[in-house]
Amino acid sequence: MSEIKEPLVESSNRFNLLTSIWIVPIIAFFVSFALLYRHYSALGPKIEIVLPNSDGLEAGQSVIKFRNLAVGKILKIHIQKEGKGVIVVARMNKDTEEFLNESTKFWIVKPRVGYSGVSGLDTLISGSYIAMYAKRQSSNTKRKFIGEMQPYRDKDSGIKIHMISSKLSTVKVGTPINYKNIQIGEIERISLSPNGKNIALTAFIKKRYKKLINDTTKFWVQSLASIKLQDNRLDIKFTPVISYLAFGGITFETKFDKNYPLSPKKHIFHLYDSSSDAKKQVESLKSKVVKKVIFKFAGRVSGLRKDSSIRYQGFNVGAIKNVDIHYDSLTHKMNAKAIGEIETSFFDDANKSGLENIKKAVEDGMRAKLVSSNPIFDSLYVDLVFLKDANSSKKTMLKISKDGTLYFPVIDSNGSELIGSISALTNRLDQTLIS
Amino acid sequence: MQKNRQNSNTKLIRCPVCEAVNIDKPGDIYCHRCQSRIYRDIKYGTTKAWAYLLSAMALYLPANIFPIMLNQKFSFHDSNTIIGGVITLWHDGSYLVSLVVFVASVVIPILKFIVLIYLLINANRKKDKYTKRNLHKLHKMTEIVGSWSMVDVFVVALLAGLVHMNNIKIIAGPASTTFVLMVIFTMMSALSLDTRIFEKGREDV
Repeated sequence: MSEIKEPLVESSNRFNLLTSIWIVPIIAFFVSFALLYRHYSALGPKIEIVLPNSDGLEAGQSVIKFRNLAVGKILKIHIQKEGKGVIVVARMNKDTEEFLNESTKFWIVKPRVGYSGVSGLDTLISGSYIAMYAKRQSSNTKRKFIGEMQPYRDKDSGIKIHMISSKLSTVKVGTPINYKNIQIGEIERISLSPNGKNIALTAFIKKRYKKLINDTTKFWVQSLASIKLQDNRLDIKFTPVISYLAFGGITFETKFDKNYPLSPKKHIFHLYDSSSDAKKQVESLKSKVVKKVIFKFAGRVSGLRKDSSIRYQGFNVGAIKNVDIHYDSLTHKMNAKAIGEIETSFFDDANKSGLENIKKAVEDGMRAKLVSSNPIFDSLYVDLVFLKDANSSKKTMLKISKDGTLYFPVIDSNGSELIGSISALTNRLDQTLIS
Repeated sequence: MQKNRQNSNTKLIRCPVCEAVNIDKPGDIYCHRCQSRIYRDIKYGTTKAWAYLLSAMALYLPANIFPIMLNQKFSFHDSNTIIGGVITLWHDGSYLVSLVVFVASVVIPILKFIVLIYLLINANRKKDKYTKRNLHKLHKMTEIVGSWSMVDVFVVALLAGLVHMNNIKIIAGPASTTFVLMVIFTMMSALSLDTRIFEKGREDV
């Protein structure tokens, strides 16, 4: 039996650092930290947007789109503690860093059935998202933004003009502004004017149609149908395009002349109810001076209403804004205090208020008189006429109160109107007979 | 008796694979039951296990930070991390599923880390009979429980395989890969731990 020597086996409990197995955890660490580094280095800035409400935005799902490319994701939405809105926290892509500055605007895009079609249809499936507008700029970076109420439009892409209107009729946000039935802009915003009397509209006009608007431009609401009596011919017109039938539109007329500058920023346009309303207005290019005027009429004043015009030799120079009627116990007549607005600058060619000329005219016998514009419908307007036999010795003065309100002298319409018209008729007859 | 005494001189060795008792002879020995080679040195017993365990722990970090499942519905892009998924499930009212996922993907891996660290630290220490028995039990437990933490990965794999529509897609996120690797590494760590090391120091007691 041969003795086989037992080999000496040494076992070691020592912890051995230098074995090839340590490659495994080193690779594992390297990989996992590389992954984490790549993840965190790719993270863009975190921004906050204050919006009036969340409007269908969902945390973790809704995106921020810039030039229709998703560049950010909404992380969370929470209530703004000091204020009335919500704060949207979003993570932007890294490459948007240069676009997050003072020029950046955010607004919510949601589906809208508009006046010129359906917009934002993609949001029906994907949900609403936040759209972004920005200009590249590396300075003035910002991280907290206040969202816009309506889609922001680049100032370079068009101009904004303001209009006022006394009533809204069919005009809504999105109502197109047409020129020769081509849409050149739309109503962007409608609000009540600060004094609550008018409606202020902001309209957007596309850049390439900018030249169509100047200070002579008159806007009016396109009526669906118009009936016109002109040159002894009855014209009935219907607006041709079907969408206006449903939604209405605004159109305008402009005088093209180099002398008429474009100053829409200063200018607030009036939005007339109809084309006839618009054309009726005196076309003066001078800066308008409008004064408040008060007439005190007595007698048959029931035909005098708000918006009754003040005319001078057939031109509209103003309008009645309010009529206060009260009974006079002494004369047993109805007294009317008509408060209106008169364009005093109409009476002066130079760029002056024209107030001096009116004063002089009143001294020379100018009076306000109620004239029936339509005997059938009992509607009256205020006509400024010269009293032939004005008592020049008893000169009636135009009273001007401290706040600039004119108290215009009036003549009794009932008595004098008939006499006046008869005398006018005889005068005219005389003239025709002579000629 | 004499024979027994003589026999007691012959050393016995346990097969590291099938745990059958073999006679320890000089030279290479192969298990009489499973024919695998029986090695005597347990030199790198803990080192290997430590290495795998640390790899697993390194991979557990991205597994929890990155999304495990990417959801694409039309233009919705939704991604869920493991914890995020558990929270979503809980809020949705499926408490049982939420709990299962939480136990499988969070509790078990962490428990395994702790148990393995405990085992590896105590492997080389002096210990009494009961401690040894406990160490064996714990080791067995980690081996059994190990594969169960794959539940989450299994769900993702199933969904990614099953949901194939034009506009709806489920994609396994980067976390699923690291999670799988993590589970594999913990299993390897538990396997590479030569349990014979627990017997060491018998003489010391």
